[in-house]
Amino acid sequence: MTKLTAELDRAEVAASGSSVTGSVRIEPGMTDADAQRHIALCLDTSGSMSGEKIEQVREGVRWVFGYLAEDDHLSIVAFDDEVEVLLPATRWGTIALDDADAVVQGLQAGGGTDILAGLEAAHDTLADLESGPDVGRRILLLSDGRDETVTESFAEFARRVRREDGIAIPAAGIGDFYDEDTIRAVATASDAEWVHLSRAADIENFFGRKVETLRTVVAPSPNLELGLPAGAEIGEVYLRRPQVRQANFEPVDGDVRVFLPDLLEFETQEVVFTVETPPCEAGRRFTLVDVTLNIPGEAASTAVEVDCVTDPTGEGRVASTEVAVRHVDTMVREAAGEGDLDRAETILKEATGELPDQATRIAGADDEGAETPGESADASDRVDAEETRIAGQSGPDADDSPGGEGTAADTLGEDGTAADALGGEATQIRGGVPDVSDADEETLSELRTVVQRASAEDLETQYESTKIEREE
Amino acid sequence: MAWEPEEGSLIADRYRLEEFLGKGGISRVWRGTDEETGDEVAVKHPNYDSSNHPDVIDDSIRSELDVLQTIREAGGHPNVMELVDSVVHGDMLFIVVDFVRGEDMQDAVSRRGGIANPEDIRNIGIALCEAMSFLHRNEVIYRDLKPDNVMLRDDLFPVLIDFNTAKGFQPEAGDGGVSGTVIPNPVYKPPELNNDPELVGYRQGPWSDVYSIGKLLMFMLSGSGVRKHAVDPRDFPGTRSTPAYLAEIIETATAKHKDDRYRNATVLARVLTARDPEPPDVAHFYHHQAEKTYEIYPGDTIGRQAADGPQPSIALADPDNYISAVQVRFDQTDEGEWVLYDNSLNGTWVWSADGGDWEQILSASGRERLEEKGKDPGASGDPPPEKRVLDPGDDIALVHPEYPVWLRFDGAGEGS
Repeated sequence: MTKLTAELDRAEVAASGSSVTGSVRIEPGMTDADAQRHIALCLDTSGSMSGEKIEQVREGVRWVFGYLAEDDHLSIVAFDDEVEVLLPATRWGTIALDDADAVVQGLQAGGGTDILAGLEAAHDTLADLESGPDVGRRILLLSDGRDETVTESFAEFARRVRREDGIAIPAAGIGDFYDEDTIRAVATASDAEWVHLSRAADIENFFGRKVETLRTVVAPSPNLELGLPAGAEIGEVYLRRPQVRQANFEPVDGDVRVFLPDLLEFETQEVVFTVETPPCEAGRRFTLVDVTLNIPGEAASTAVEVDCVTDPTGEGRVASTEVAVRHVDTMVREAAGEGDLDRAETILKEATGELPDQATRIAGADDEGAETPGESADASDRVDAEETRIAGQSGPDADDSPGGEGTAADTLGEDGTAADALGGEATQIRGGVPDVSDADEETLSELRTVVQRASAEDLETQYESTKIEREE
Repeated sequence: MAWEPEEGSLIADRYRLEEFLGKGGISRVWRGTDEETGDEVAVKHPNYDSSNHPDVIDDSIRSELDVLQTIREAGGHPNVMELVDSVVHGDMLFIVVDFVRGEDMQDAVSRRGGIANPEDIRNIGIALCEAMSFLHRNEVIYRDLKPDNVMLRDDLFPVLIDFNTAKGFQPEAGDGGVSGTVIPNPVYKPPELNNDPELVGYRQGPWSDVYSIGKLLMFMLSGSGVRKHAVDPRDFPGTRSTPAYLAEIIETATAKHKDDRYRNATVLARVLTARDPEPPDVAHFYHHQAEKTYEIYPGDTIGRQAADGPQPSIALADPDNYISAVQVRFDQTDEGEWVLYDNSLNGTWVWSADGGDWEQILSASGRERLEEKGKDPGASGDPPPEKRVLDPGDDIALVHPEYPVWLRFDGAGEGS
C-alpha cells in the first residue's frame, strides 16, 4: 500500500492569480515478495583505476554476489577505451560461485575511458531479458574518469533507457577527478541517484546498498500526474527525496507528468513544485492540483482545493511556511549539489529578502498589479511564467529567455524533461524563489547551514547537500 | 562561557579527570580516577558545544542516568555498563561509570579486519544475548545496538555502553525529544525499528534485539556492515568458510520478518551455546478468556499490550493496566523443566493441576512494594517465591485469581 499526500503553502489564492508552492509525498509500504533483479555492473577499468581502486572493485563485485538470489540476473561489463562483456546476463542460480569469482579476476585496469560505450554495452546485456512489474532493473555505473562525449549525449541515452526499458542507472564517481557532470546527468536523467565515493572502500557499500534495496521494489517506473486548472502554469519541479535533483517532467494534455524513481519499500519520495494560479472568481473554491500516482496495478490519487478571494490576507494566506521553506531548501540543495554555490547563495538571499528587489528580480516577472496586498512587495516570489512554462514549449531554445543563453532552455530537453544541468548565468534564478522571510530564525539558520556546509571544491560536500535527513 | 571541565579537574571533590576520551552529540567522556577508592572510572557530562539543543542534551543525559539507575537497582549485569555515581558539579550533571579498558567493537574489528576465530564471535554473541535478555526483563529497551556501542576488553569480553537512546519500557506520551528519536540504521536495525511500525505490521520487541545481534555477529566475522536481511556469511567474500552452524544461526537471526527469526535473545543464546541452529523446545499456553493458544520459547515474556512502544513477546490486551509491561518470563532448565518467573508488581498466581490452592509468585520488586505499603507478603506463611516450576495442566492467573486473564500451561503439547 502506498500513501500519497499533497499539500500547498496556502489555502487561499488571489482572484488575480498567486504563486503557490506545493509538495507531493509518496510513502510506499512493505513489499509482499522480493523483486527479481536485473543488474548490469558497468565498471571503469581505465588505467587510473589501478591499485587499491581495482582491488576494491573486485571485492565489491564479490560482495554483490552475496546479495543476489537465485532468480536474479547479473551481467558485468568493463570499459576502458575498449568495452568487454566479462559476464553476459546470467541467472544467478545457474552459475557456480567459483566461476563467478574467476570473472572477477578478469577485471584488470589499463587504458582510457569510454563511459558511453560501456553504458551501451551494459544496456545491451539487459535489453533482451524478459521484464515485468515485479522486476527491478539497474545499470550500476562506477567511474573515476572523464569521457570526451558531451554531457547531453549521456542524458539522452539514460533517458531513453529509462523510458523504454525501465532501467535506471545509479552512477557513482570515485575520487576527485571524475566527470561529475556526466555522473549527475546519467543518474538524474534515468531517475536514479548519483553518488560520490571518496574512498575506494566505499565501492562495496555503494554496490551493496543498490543491489539490496533493488530487491524491495514496490513499483518500477512510476509517474505522477499533476492536473492543473486551465490557465495554471507549472514552474519549478524538483525531486526532494530520496535525493534532491531536478525532476524529469513533461507536459501531457495541459497537465504535467513527473517521472519518478522506482518506488522502494519504505523509501519516501517527495516532489516539490511551484504553480501560478490563473485568474479566478472571488468566492469560489476550486481544485488547484489533482494528483495521480501511476504505478502498475495500483493508482492512488489526491487533490488539494483552494479558495479564490479578492484579498488573501491573514491566516489563510500562507497555510504552511514549511512547504515554502522546503521548496527553498530543495532549490538551495540542488544548486549546492551541482557545486554552484553562487546560485545557492542567491536563491537563499532572495528567499529571505536579503537582496534588494532589483538586483535579482527575475526579468519578465509579472507586474506589481498582480501582486496581492499583504504579500511581500518583492515580486521575486512570483514565478516568471514566460520563462518557466512548459506547456506548449517544444523547442530547446526559448529566444526570450532573459538570463542569456541556457537559462531556461537547456533545462528543458527535447521532450521537455529537465535532464540537463542548469546552465547560464549563475545568479539568474530560473522560475523565481518563494518568499520565506517570515520563517523563524532557526529555520533560516538551517537554510544557511546548507550553503555553508557545501564547498565548490569538494564533491563530497556537494553530494551530502542532496541528501535530506528523515523528516516528518 | 560557562565553566568547562578539563584535564585535571576534580569533580565533586572525588573524581579526577585524567584523559579526554571523546565526545558525541550529547556528551563528553573522560577517563578518570575515583580518589576515594583509587578505581579507574569513566566520567560523562553534557556536551553543550554540539548541534543539539541544550534541553535535548539535558533530557538525554537525564534519561541515560535514569536507565543506568534502573539497571543498578536490578542488580546490574557484567556485560552492561555499570553506574558508579552521579553528581552535580558546577551546574553540570556528571555520570560516573565503571571504566572498561579496551576498544569499541568498530575499532577492534576494523583493526583486525574481522575477528578470525568463530569461537570468539560465538562467545561475544552469547554475552550480548544475555545482556539484552537482562535489559528486557528489567523493562529497559536498548534501541541502538551497533558496533560503536559495544566495548570489547582485550580478552574480547563485551560491555554494552552508551544508554543515550535507551529508555524505559513504558510508552511515553508526547515525548518528542531526542530520547524518543531513533536514527535509522539499515545495517544493524531491523525493519520495525527503521520504519513506521504501522507499515511494518508489528512493533519493536525481543525479536528486534535478535536481529541486531545477528548483524553484529556478521560484522565481527566480515569486518563490514551488511545491509542484507537473512544474511548467510558463506555467500560473502572473506567469510565463505564460516562454520555451518554459525552461518545458519546468523541467517535466521537476521531474517526480515520477526516470525522468521529466533523469538528472543535467550533463544539466540541457547542455539549459539548448543552450536545448533535448531531452536529449543517450545511450550504452549491456552488463554481461557481469549480462547487462543500461544507458543512460548525460553526467554519469552508476557505483558500488557501498550498503545505504542516496545512489546513483550506476547502482548495481552489489558485496558485497566493491571498487567505489568513485562508480567512474567519463562525459561527452561537443562533438565527440560519449564519455569515461570514473576516480573510484576501485583504478582502472578498459579493453580496446580494436582489440586490445592492458588499460589502467588511475586518478583522481588513486587514484594518490596508490598512491604513499603506496610503489608506483609508472607502473612499467611512463607513469603511468595519469585519463580515456580510449571507442570502441564497448571493454570496461571496474571495479577489475581479474580482478574479474568487465565492461562493454562500445556507443556510441550499442542494445546487445544
